[in-house]
Amino acid sequence: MLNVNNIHKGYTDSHGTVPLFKQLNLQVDTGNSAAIMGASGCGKSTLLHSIASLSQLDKGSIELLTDDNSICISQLNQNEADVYRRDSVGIVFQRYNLIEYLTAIDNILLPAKHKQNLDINFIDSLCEQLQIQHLLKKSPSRLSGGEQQRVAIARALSHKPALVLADEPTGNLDPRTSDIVARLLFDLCKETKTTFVIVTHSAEIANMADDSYDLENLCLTKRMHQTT
Amino acid sequence: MILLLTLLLKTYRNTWFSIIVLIIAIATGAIGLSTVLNLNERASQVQNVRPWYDYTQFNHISALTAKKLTIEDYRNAKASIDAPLIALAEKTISLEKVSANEEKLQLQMIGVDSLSAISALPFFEDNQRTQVRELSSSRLFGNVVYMNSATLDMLEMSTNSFLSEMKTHNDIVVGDDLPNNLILADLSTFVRMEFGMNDSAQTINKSDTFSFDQTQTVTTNALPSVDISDLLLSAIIIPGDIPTEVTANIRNALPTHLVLNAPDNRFAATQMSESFQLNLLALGLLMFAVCMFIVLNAGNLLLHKRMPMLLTLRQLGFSRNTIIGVLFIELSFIALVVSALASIISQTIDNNLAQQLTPIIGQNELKTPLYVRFLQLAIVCVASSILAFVPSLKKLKTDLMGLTSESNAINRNALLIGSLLICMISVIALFLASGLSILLTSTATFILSICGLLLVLLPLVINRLKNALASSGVIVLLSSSAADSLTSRTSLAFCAFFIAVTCNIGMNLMVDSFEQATQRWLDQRLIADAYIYSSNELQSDSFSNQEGHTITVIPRLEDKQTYEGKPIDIFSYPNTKQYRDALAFQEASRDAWSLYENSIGIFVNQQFANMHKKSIGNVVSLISPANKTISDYKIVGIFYDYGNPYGQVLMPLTAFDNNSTRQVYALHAQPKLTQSKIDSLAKEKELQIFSAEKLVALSMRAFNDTFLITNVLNLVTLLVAAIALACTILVLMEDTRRQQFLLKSLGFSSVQIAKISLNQYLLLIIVGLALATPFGICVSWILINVINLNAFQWQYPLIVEPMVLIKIYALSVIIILLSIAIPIFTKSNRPISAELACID
Repeated sequence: MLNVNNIHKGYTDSHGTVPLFKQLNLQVDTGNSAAIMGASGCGKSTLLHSIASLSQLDKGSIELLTDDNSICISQLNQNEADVYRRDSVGIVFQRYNLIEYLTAIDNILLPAKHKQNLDINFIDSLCEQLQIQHLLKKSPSRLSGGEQQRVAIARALSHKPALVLADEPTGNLDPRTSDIVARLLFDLCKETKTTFVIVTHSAEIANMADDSYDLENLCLTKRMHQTT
Repeated sequence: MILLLTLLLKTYRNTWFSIIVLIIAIATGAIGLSTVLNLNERASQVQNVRPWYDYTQFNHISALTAKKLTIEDYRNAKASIDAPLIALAEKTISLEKVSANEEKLQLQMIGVDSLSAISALPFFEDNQRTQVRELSSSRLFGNVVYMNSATLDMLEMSTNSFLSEMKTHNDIVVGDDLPNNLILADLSTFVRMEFGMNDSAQTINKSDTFSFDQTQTVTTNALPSVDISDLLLSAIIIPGDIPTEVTANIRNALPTHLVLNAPDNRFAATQMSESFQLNLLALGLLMFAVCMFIVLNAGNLLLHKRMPMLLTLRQLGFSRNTIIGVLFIELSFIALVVSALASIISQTIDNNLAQQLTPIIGQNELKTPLYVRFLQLAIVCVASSILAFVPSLKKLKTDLMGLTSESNAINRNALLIGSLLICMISVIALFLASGLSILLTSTATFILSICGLLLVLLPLVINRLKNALASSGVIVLLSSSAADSLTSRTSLAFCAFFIAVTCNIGMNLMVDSFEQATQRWLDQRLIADAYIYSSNELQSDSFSNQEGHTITVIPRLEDKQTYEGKPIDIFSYPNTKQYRDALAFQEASRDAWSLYENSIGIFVNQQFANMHKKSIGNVVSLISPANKTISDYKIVGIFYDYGNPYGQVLMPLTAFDNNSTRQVYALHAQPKLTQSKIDSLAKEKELQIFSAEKLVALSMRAFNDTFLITNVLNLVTLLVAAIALACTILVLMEDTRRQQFLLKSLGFSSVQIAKISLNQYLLLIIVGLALATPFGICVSWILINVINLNAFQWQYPLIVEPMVLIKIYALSVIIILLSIAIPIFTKSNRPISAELACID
């Protein structure tokens, strides 16, 4: 389970400190998914980066509770944060997702090898579901945007993390590809019982999540599922 | 244009690092090149301006040790020898109480028979004729003495009455081409000063002239008490080349107390030789080339930073050519300003360095004015910087046009074929050409062509390595894959590193082989317990009464001659078993020693054989040191003689007569002499005695001193190459920032990322070193067997000493790692939150 409790975060500019969120709370049960929506610059990505321990909080706490242990993300030092990202998190960014000097398969295997829990059968099945078997030996520069994102999804799941975070993973894709990629991501997380948090501008994608939220007025507001 | 220049100026706040690297690179190259040019200019003056009154550069007649050369000898020689003869006398004048600061001053005075000199004018070198004419004409105007203004000023300030006395009898003419403390005069003026001026009772009239031979003006008004037959001469010069037959005739015509000496060009040998100057210049150019690689990399770095702004300018309607033109103007301006600074700095460095290097380059002043050096540097720096900037601008051109970089990629096949062709041509030139400049140019072309091969080979080798390491750990996989992807972008910087390492291996193996060969040769050759260097003749029984030791003294008899216009030394060499074993031959005939013993055969050094294109069995005509007649000798052995720039011939002791010059004596003792015994002998006999071990040590020290400059330049070149590589890495670190962020998001720690970066560069360095090794050995072979043979006429075996290679590897890796470790660790340690910006 992911627990975000009363977190505060802001940034400083020439006019002083500008708050991004205050007393923000979020709870995502293990194996469930949550979508965060909101206007550009409202702090969605910052929230995701805070959960990934890529960014420090000003106040509050974030916890990840799994069957085996509980991690207080907001209190991790740099080394612990590295281990947390290595073992417990898979991240899909909007672009520049792949290590360009590694082939697709090396990109996918990298987190599992790094974590030392390589499960070739699991990765094979991931690749099969993502329909990327024919792309595995290619370098990222030879893949299309949709193919790159599918490889990135495989990589985010390859080491069986407890939590997957996706920061506008379909932002650069056309609507059809975007829909396919998002669907795959949700299905795979559901199948592997991975907690999943996605930041998106697309209401359709947000509707795929178990819960969806709007980040406005410095905190999250639960959205009702809409049909388009 | 001005608007664009102003905009570029505003980017300096963000691009200061690249600008500084650019300035340092141009400055380092310019200072290095200018300093080498200055040093070479000083050294070349030594050889070009050897004064005509230095009689040792000519064939000359002198008296044997403890004998006298008189005016009478000169007159007799003029009568019996059919060659131009010029008498020269020298004396040292010691002045007491010169000034408040200096108690003593020593002046050297030289008197030359200028009337004979003017008759022999065609035999002098072009640059010596004016000086000869000037001195000869002074004789027509009475007594004239020449000295430089510094000497005159010193004498004028002196409290000593020497100058005022000299002025009453002579006119003083300032000649600033003369060295300090030298007074040059016609021989008649010299005679007056020798016999008249120091004795007020025997003042000689200013208009007196003397007869130095029967054909010259008869003495008029000379005081009867002055007998010029008392005048001692230092030498009688015979200018111009003398054929061997004439040399034999002169020797026969000379009385027993006089000897004909061959020109002594050893003066030049103590200075930096022409080949060493070329070597220095080659290293200077190498350093400059490496610096231009830095300019290339710094240019890349600068453009990388400015690219967003330049793209915006392009979108705003500024033409591509205008943008590129402005960048060229900016670079030219930087190069111009840096050249001015470099010319000033290099002159300061040169002034300091010249004092340290006096034994090698002499004590000459720089003649090239500062503004000329600045203009030379400005032209070279502006042109080279623009050339080095061209690849970056080509990339900029494609970027501004929106083309992919692949359209600009190197055609590897064309590069491979082109490099192989140039490599083959340079190798053919190395085997066929003979001029030193052509050979050095061919060597440089060979090194550049293997750089082309590196551009092709490096990616192939790294790719193979990556595949071989694919199953290794994550860090190794990431490092090898990153190195593979980096090869295309780092290859130019690696070229600079590769050139530096190849030259380093080449030079170091050459020097090490030379050192080992010299050491072995000295150990084998110096078999006596000790050697005495003495200009006074030693009797063979001088050391007979030594308690506890039986000492045998073997003199080295000498004769100096010219063979085919070149000076050669003829030395005696004993024929005993011990001495036979000590002589290391490059080649010898089977019956060499028996022919040698009978004075039918001679041994010549490699230099003689190569200089005169002689081999075993060839016959050479030399003047017999014993009977002074021309005799034919068969070459029966060619021996190693490292470090000697001259031809040398060995003959048995029986080929010399008792009057032969001897200056070196070998002491063989039973039991062996200890160092303390040698020291006590030296003290007792007041002689310079060196043990064989001490001579070896002295020779090796001289050897190491000579190669110190090249070693330092080698190290500097390697350092400069490392800076070039560090610059490239800085560019790449910016380029790979997103990749590093990704790795951090995957849980790789800063240390792991730094390790990956270091490993990838280390892998490139190791492959670079591995590729440079065979080429470095080739360069070393070329230096020994082509360049050295051509420059010095001797060669030695190439020894590939693993320790030398290991030292170069270790030094290269340490220098590179030190120069890249700081940027790598700084950038890897950036907090991940700071990296977040790069993904937006």
